[in-house]
Amino acid sequence: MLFNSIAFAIFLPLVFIAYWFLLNKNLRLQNIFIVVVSYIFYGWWDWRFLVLIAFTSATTFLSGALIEKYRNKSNNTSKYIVISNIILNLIILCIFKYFNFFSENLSRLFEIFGFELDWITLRILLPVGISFYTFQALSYTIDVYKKKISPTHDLISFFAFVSFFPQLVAGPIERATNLLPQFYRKRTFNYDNAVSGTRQILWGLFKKIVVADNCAVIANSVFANYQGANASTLLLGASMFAFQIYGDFSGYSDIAIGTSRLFGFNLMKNFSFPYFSRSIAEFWRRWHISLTTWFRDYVYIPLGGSKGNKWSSFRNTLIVFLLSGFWHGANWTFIVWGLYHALLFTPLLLLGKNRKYTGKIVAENQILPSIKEFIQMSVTFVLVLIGWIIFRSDSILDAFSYISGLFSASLFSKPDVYNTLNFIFGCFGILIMLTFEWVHRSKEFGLDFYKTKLGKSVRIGIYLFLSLVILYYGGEGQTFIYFQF
Amino acid sequence: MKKYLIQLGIVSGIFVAIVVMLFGITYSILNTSSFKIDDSKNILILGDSHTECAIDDNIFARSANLSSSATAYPFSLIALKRIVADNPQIDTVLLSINTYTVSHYTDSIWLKGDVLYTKTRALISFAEMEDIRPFLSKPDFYIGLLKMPNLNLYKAIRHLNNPLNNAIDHNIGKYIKLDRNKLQTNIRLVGNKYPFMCTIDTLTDQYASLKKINTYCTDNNIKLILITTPFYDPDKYLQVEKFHILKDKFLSDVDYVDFSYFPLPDSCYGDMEHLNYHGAEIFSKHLQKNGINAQNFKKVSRK
Repeated sequence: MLFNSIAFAIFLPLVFIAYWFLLNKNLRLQNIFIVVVSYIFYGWWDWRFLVLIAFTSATTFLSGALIEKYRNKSNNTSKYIVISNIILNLIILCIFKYFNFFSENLSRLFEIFGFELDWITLRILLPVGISFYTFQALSYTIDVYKKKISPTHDLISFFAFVSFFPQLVAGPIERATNLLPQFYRKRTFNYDNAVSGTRQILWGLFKKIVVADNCAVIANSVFANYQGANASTLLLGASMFAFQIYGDFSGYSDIAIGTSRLFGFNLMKNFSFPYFSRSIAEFWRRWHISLTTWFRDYVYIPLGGSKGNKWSSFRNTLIVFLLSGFWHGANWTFIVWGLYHALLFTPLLLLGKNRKYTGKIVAENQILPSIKEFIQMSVTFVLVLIGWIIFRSDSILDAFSYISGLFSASLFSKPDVYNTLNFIFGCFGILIMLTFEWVHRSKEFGLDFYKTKLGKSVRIGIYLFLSLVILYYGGEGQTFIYFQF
Repeated sequence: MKKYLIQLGIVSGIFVAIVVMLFGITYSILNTSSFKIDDSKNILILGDSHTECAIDDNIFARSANLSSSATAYPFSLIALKRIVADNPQIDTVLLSINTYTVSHYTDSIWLKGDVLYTKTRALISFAEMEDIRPFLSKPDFYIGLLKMPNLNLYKAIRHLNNPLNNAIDHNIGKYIKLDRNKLQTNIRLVGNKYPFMCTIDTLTDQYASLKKINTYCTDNNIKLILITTPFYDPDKYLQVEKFHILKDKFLSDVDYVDFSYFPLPDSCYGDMEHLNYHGAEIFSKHLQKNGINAQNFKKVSRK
């Protein structure tokens, strides 16, 4: 069930009414209800997906209980339980997501040495959101082992934690330490939270439907026909994709966080205006925060982080970025994208500049950025843009051809706009989005009017304006990009 | 909770009121506008991208080509009624058809999603209630209704002091000068695997609307002719003879002209199904000279 669908527009109010008016007095019933509606939400794509998520939830829940049971008896047993659960979940993920990738590449490798390998390629349907909920479940097991959280004995709460519908299919990847305890506590309706949540849903829909879906039409046309395109068209296509993926993914996160707030839950922030970053390091503190912090806490730090010598810091950074790339999908382009960012990030790490700008907002207390900040943001955006070309391309060869096509005198010629209306609406959407996000860059999201000085009628005018723009200038419905991960 | 629901209700209510108002304004301006075409044009061409690209009504001067890509027959019916009402000189309608036009496949792609929104937006202002019935069960139709003021309102306001008095201004359709040659790419992609399907499904919205178009034309003394425009190598990719049998069985009361075998060099095709402007020029000149008489063109075998 897509967030921008009629089905969800009917689903959400019904769930809201039942949740607060019928089930508010009984916490357990409310949690059961969350599990039921979450499974309905997820099963809307394909009911077969439910078997897998239920299996993951059950095995992870069991692992937590067993870790607690064997913790005092023998430390190694609980360690083996954690490892087994991690391996089990990763095997499931690998089968559904990476089996064909490995088998095809293994066949190619054997062919280089003259061996024909008749390998099986499985026609497996990739369950939506499997990467997200698998990582979410793994975080629970690892945190229980590390004693960051007590294992839960409440099966319903745990199933609700894994399958919570607003963030199930495209994040944020929640930590058990943050989300699970919220299922133990009675939720009370909070006016400010609900209003803020509704605003965030509206903002997310705007970014997805107006920005992402319009930019997608241009980006798809350019990437499909890049061979004959001039450099300015290639630049246009790449830029449109940069805003498509941002509007799409951050829009989804906004809808997820906003929806959760309607039900009294607080999810973690997943995007913090990444295109205002002044360096690649800052970009990675602002983009897909839930994934980058997951890899930091469960891969980078256990490997030693930056505590060892420079070589081990580089090695750990490389591993994290490669895994992050690979997490996105079974294609060499994602791995190379990860490698590319690793190579950009590492110099900053080794020079000790990766923590620069932490906690500092760009152009703080200023209306506009300084020239230096503007140049920093522009350079960072261009570097990220090149990465997006690799990310979006079908193959490494296509990516390099695309990038090399940018270095031409035709960069200054007029680009070919394949669909004028989508281009106009997309640019209009980008302008509105960047304006709001710049003005509210110190806040949670672009439309965060909490404690604002704006009058009520102005705020309502803005909501109506955005709603009308969504209705009349939304692009053709496109799937959320991150559903494929 | 009460305060939240009340405020949400108020804002939603204002939003709905604005949308209804915009819809109403746009509808009333467009509905009262004219669809007049040149009095010298007595042949109306409707249908999909095949006729849209194949017939240049500047060359085939007696015709007015208001075809548009992916236009299903329910929409052609709406356009037909409105245009004929303002143009009593129309005595012939050419309506595009191909071997797969009357099928569940076409129903599913032309009466759904973005295609349905776009056509609904363009034509709903002129539709009679009975002609809307095929759409009432389709959720995408209501989205098209909501989106109707998009672009239409701007157009309507622009013509407020200069009323829309030309069918072309309504963007129902027009001849499109197709400037491409993707024939070889098309042939490579299609290969030998999938010839274009050949069917006439009587349980489709397309069929039901086609029958209504026929009835309307008969009632208004208008000659309806179904036309298949030139196609690349129909022997290989179309099952022409099978389609003729199906047509005689299910559409026996409608005249049909088959130009699939109209001889054209490869350079005249934009792709397998559509003529580019070179082909449209040759074909239109043929129609201008010879009319729409049924002819058996020699089957050209392509090696």
